[in-house]
Amino acid sequence: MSKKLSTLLALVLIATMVLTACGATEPPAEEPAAPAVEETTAPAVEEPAAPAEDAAAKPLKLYAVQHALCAWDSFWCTVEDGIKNAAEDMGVDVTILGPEKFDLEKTAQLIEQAVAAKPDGLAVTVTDADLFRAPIQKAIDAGIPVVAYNAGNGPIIDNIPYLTYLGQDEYQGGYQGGMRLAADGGTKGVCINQQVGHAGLDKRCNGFVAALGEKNIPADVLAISDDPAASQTVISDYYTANPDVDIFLTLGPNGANPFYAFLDAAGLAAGTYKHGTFDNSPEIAAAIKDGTTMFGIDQQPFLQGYGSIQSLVMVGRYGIKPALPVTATGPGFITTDNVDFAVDGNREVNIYTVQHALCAWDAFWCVVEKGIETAAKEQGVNYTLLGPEKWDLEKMAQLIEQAVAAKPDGMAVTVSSVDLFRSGIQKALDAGIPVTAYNAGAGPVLDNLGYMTYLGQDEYQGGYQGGMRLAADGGTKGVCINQVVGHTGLDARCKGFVDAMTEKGIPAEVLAISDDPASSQTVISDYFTANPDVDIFLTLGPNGANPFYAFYTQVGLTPEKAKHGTFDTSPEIISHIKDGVTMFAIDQQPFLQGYGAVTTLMLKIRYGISPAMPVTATGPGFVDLSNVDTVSALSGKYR
Amino acid sequence: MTKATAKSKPAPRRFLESPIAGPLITLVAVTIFLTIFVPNNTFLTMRTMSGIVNAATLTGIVTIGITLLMICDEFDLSAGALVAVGAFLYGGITMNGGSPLLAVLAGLLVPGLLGALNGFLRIRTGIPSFIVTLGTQAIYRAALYVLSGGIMLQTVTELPVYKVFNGRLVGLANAIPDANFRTSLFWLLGMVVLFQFILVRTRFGNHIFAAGGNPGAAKATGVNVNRIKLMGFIISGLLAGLAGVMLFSQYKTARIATATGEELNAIAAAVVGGTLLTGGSGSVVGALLGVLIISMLRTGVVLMGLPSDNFVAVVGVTIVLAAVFNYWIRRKA
Repeated sequence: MSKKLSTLLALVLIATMVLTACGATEPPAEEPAAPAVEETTAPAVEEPAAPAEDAAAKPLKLYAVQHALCAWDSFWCTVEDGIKNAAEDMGVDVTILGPEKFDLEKTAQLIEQAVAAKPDGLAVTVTDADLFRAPIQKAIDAGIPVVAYNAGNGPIIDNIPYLTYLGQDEYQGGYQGGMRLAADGGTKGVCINQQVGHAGLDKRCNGFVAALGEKNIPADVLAISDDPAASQTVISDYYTANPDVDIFLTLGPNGANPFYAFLDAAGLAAGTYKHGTFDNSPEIAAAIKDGTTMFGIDQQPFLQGYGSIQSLVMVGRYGIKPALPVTATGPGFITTDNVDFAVDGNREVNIYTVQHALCAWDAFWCVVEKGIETAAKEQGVNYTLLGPEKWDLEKMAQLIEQAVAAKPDGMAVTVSSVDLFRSGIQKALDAGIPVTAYNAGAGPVLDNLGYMTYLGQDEYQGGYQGGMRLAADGGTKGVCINQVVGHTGLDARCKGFVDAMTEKGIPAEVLAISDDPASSQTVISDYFTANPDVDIFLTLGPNGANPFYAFYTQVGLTPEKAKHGTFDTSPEIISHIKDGVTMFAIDQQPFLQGYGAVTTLMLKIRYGISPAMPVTATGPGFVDLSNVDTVSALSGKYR
Repeated sequence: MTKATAKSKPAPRRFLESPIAGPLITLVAVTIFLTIFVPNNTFLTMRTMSGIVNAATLTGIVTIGITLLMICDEFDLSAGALVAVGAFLYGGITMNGGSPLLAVLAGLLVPGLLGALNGFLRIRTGIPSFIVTLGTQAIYRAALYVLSGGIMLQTVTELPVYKVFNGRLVGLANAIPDANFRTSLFWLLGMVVLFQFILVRTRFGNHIFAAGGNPGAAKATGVNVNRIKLMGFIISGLLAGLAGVMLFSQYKTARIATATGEELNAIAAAVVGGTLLTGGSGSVVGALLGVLIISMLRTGVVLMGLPSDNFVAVVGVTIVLAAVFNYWIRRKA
């Protein structure tokens, strides 16, 4: 028996070997590993040498080093598309480097290679912070601006002082997903986690549980495994034990797949439950279309590529730095509205920008308008800019209506009065026109209006990050000098500052001054007499900085005895950054507000990409010794 | 007289000597425990029972092969990787419009061939199979990574062949509410019957016990121990491939990480099912009971409202207790 059986098995095996060798079995995506590891994109048209003063035409040579390539992993094709499109739009050279197979040691060597080429900027996937720390630090030491994309945790957690990390905010993904699922209420929620203990997946569930908690809906985490059959049964059992569960979140195709099998077997009626998931797959897309699944959460890899190049160009040309340690490219939501979105990078884009002030009568707005103009020119976007001829919010509301009536592809608005503008903006949204807010607004959540995002300064973060910089080398006591106590934005700055100080164990308080520089100088001086141990000062703009400088000279302080940082720039502030009195100025980066508003609409219209966060921080941007010369050279135009 | 005594060995004693005594008693005990302690009488319901069975099918198929190998004193830690190989080949070919027959053959026989490689390495080098297959499981998964480019396979197309290997028994579900059984159940039962028959009714089966229990004596009586073991590895690979085919047939998805850790679940189920780690003893029916016990416990943990990640700990405790109990009951016999 044993002999017969083994002979038979051997024969069958040989037969298969022959069959499979005939080439009919085609393992998916089998390609010889491409040896080519360089993909270069050059600007479509080599522009003639631009006049030196035109920063927007400054040629830049950038490198992107990533742990995988489009050549062998299709996910990366989308990232690389983003990189190439950004390079083309902005007219810069980008060289993409990556290993010919997954190899982190090799990737680290490629970072070294990129640094050796002395580029004007470097984007890196920080897949392994420990391994990549040394080569990235080398770039930073050489003065090369560095951003991380797709993989990383931000400069603080990775402990590498790069500018920002562009990737998905996992907690926000779970939180925003939970908010959507619970928008119409619910009884109980469950986050189905295929790998409990995986930091990213756990964060998604934490965000989901927190969102449902805010809505007073209890929520559990259900652990499943890599075995879909067992996972399906676990979900089914959980449902048996908790028949009141009506909100389900899965964390990707590996969870959605057994979930759909469970739905099929349990025969749950549509409308009795809500389901959302992370990621997309053919099965998820089909479920979104037939209404089984409310949304898929996308990390928007195109934006990771596009955004990292844009960030490097902003630094290289205008000295504009990313505002936050983590720049969220996701969550982006795939719903019935956009599941079939057809990407078209050449789609004609006509937008309206409506703002409450104009360059013609307020110089601040020249910089915003320059941002709009630059982005529109680079991206081939047609725009019409509307604004009242003087401060007049009623007129501005009419201009919004006028813009909506023109049926543009997109609209950007400064939401300086949400109540006055609500009906106009809502009309645009109802007509399917994507809307973004810039410079003024509070974001769709606080404004309770469904526009995409608000591009402006995160005031709390400005105070917090400023405080962290001032207290980096320690200190005895800090003070936030506030010229308008009770002003929401200024109070948020001081709150951030005090929180940062507290985190560093340094006592800090708020000192109220006024619009009268003479009395303000005296107040600061009196405060210093009463608190001679104060050595950290934060002012909230030129109105605080000017009396501070007068006090500083009067008392005869030195940079060793007092550290000073301030919000906003002015000629006086710039000169004091140069002479070392002031460590930094925090800029809301108005150029980026205009530039970003156009880019946000263009990405939505051509690529179906939505901003990840209700507030997209354009500031705080720090002006310090490292970029003060660029900033002062561009002052009034780009800064 | 003596002869008569031997023949009239009391039935309970004969039962206790059988390798399925321990797992059967455990299964009954677990069933009673869960029936009593699961709240709201949700344990003995069609939905729960069909869930327990469905969750046991893939692991069950793998466990049969692992059990045969363990009886002849070998391990196959690459079984989980071979499930993924089978799922990838079968899924890749069917998705791209290839012949379903070719897809099934490739999905079964390539893992069988890789099983043969495991056996060949084990026999030729004399290195313990634990080490050999620890190495090959990584190699097989890495090869899959390279060949697939790390991409997950997924389709939403329904093919008739998928229904054959793991289709829903719609008629049954319509007749009996919540009876969500699938064709995978027949494949599992079919394999259990086939291999239980081979194990206890054929000379080859006899030789498996001999090769694991006392290889020296087996060789002395003319058993080709190496060939028996090689066959064991091939069967383990074939069955892992079948599990991969069944997995893809229902879920229509395969990843590099598919069935990660499945080999350990299978070893656990085999041990709970009364197979000795020292070889020479075990049963395919016991293995099936072992898989069902573990599946029941997992369901029990969830139904009792305990956090589902505690399941792993429950399995750990069960393995230890079941092993102790199975040894104890046989010593008693």
